[in-house]
Amino acid sequence: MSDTPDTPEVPASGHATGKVRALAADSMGAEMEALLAKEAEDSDLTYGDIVWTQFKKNKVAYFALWGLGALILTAVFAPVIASTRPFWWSLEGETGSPWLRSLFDTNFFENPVDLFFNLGMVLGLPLLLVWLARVRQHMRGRLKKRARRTKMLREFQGTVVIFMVTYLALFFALDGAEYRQYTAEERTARIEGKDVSAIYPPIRIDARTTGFGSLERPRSTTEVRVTLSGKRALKSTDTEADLAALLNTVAEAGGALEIRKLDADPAVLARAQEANYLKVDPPHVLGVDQSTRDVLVRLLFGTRISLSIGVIAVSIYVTIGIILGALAGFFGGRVDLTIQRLIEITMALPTFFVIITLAAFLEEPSIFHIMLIIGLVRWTGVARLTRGEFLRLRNQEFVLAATALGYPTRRIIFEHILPNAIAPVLVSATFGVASAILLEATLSFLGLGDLSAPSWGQTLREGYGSGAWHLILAPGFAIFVTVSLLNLVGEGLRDALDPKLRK
Amino acid sequence: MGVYIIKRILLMIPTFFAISLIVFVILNFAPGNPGAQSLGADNLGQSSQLAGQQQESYRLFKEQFNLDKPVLVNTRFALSDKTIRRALQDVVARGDEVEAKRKINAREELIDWGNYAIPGLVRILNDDENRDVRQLAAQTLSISAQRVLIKQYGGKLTDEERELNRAIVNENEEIRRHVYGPKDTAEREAAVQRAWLKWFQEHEERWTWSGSDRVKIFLFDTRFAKYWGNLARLDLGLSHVDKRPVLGKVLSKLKYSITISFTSVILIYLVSVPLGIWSAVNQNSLPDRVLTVVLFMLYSLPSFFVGVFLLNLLTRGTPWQVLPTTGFASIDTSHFTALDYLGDVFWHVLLPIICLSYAGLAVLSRYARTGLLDVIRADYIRTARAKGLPEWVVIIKHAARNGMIPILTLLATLLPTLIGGSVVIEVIFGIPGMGLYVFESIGVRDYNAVMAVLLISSVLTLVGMLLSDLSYALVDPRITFD
Repeated sequence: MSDTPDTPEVPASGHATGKVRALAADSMGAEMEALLAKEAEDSDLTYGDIVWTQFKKNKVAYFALWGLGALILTAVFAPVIASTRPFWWSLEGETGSPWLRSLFDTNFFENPVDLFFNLGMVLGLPLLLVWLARVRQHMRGRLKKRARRTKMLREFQGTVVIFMVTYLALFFALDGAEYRQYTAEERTARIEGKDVSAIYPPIRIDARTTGFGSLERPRSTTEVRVTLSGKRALKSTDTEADLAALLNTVAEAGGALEIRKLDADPAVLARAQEANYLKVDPPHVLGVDQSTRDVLVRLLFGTRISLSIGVIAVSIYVTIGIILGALAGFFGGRVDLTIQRLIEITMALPTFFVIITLAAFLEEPSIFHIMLIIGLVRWTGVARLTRGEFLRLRNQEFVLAATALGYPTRRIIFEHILPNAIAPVLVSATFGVASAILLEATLSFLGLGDLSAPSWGQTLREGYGSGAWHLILAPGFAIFVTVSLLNLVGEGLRDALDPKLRK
Repeated sequence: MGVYIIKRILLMIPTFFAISLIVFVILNFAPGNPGAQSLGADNLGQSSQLAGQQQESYRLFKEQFNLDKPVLVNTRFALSDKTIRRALQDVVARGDEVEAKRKINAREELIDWGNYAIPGLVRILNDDENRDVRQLAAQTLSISAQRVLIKQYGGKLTDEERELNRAIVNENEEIRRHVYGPKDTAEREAAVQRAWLKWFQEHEERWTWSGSDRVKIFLFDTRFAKYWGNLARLDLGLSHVDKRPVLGKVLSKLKYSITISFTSVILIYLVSVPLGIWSAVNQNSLPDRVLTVVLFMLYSLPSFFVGVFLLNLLTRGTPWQVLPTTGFASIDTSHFTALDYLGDVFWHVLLPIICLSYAGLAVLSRYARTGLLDVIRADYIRTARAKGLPEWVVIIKHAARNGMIPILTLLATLLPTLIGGSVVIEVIFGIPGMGLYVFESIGVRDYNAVMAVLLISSVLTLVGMLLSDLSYALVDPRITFD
């Protein structure tokens, strides 16, 4: 991603370069000053800069980070790749973009996660681009590096706030629109000779569309059946003459024709296609599942589910863990003892059993329930890490300085110690996202997840039930790739943060 | 050391209590009632004989499993007439005046209040304007006022107790008659009302609670207190499904799970330690790099995917059918010799063990590798080499012993993880172990079974945590706890 994670700064790393520079300007020439300025810029490296340089040296992890970025973009742009709604639609003077409308249509995208990603595509990415442009502007500007960083961070926070407010506003304001089948409408309009034009996404399927192909012949695109309002079906035995007769009937009946799939004579098919009577199934690259939904499209939208579950569940437990760990480490004594007990209790809970119990007892768990459940049981690791870091840091000079300056405790904890304690938490969070994704997939595999969401685990479950190879390999591969990328990035980050490995 | 262990074990008790509290609360506040389906459609207000019997058996079921008690604290001694009347009215309400859900809840409440609602019910029976409400009050009374026999499920009775039981039976007999149906006359109703009033006046002392009685009820007449009372006697209760003791069932399941997880642990250590040592010795060679990549990939492969993959590949004839699909052993093993049986089990558990161990293997090999790399450059290793010891002695006797400390201590944390992680593997391969048992029990809301499994595995985790801490001291004499 383009924003580097929250960049903590090592407090003691700033040198007294200002004084040196002043001296230099007095006594030495401009040449020397330029040299010193460069050095000042170098020594002005923040901790984040060092880690980032170190991280980039690990090529595998670096590429994995790009891969992860690509995965996120795929999740964000899923509706651009696959949707049943046309980008552009015009029928007898009715023009517009049903696709754009569908992005915020709660009947079309029932899941709030989809809404989030759609907004990310429409609003989030432009905002991010604006922010990046601002970053460039700052880079050219004359602000000092640290001031620049602070400013950029502020603006990034602002961007996030704008985004979240819009999301929440939309979340409560949105409603569903009437469901229309544009492909069918277009066909009918063509048969009726109306003026119609439509531009579709490359794959004209959405995650819920059913009724194409079959599990046994998952890739078929040529099985077609032509029916006329249920009265007359075109079969493989039909000849061209039959079709001609049928077409006449259709013409007499006013041209309303419903077309479905089944075996048919190629010649008949060619003829029907020519006359625009034929609905050709979109190709199913990865076949269909048991409910005849397209696997590729489900995997595509499943990316959204997996990534958001991973990130949100981990955010929940990182927040809990940091707060409790910080309190325990900073205050020590009785607070520490209480929180330690709490940690021990939660650790001894058989986490997986508790999670499946909770997931099963919620009668219709939504993915937010799953996120919350994972978030509430898994915080102990982060709490222990943060506690350890706080214990290490709380007696250091910069904390004493902050205390001596009379800063409020909250400020000392969150603005002074926390930025220095966050690095190991970040590493554990990266691995945590991977394991949360695995956990969600496991839950869906056991049939305890959100049944309405196109989760990867669910497809794998169908593969387990039916024994169809494409239903096992495709989601398995998707999970494997995502988890691998996250683990690689996590390892790279861990190595980059390890001073022993720094060269 | 001994003091430390005792201290830790004593600390485990409050921790275990807290865990049981958490698990208990989760289970008992979860939606869904075990056995609720046995209560028929809502024709209770019309009071058919059948509905009454159903209600009675449901009440017995709830009583047997303490499901009629409030979960954590009991405030029913302060039950007001208004609340009771409300529940009665909601149950008898016709049409859609009251939501169906509330109707069911109200009926549950009436059953659950049991004994505590009796004073209120007697008053309502005598003064409510609605005949349906009065009739339901009488019917509820006739069920709730019955008393349970002393030592109902066996046990030696003294003469005194036997006498008491006889009195209870007689009283219950009589109480059961104090009901009337919708077709009965007003005289019959008045008779029933009088009978209840008389009975209540005779036994009123049963519902006059002193302050200490109230505290006792508040704290101890609850599901949680009853459960802990049984737990202290190592009684984990009966299964809701087949009414057999849960503990025995879990223990019988445990042997399958333990077989699989122990074998996996042994396998993991047998393979990963040599592998780690080998790749540390050949650090940065091509085979080491390849191995690192392969192990990383294994680590990132989700085990349920590998499970399904292998299952489909090797057992279903797509394309091969060389291993059995499900179960721990063949269905009929009676004619097998011991050796045959062992072989049969081996073929059955081969895939589950592979699935359970490959990820741990990947992790542990990497730990072993880094563990050895940490010590291999130490001075004492150089000394050993300088003494002219053969290389294998240096590696195995001097380096490995110290380098393997971290992975030895992982053993204790590995076991509970394996037991937890085996749920999905047991489900996939149909191994009748603890994981599959808990999965199935959750499905049928068998609280006692789920509770038992959760508690047993948290005890295992606690013990594992203690062992893990102790093993540090065992393998490294520099660490002491005193």
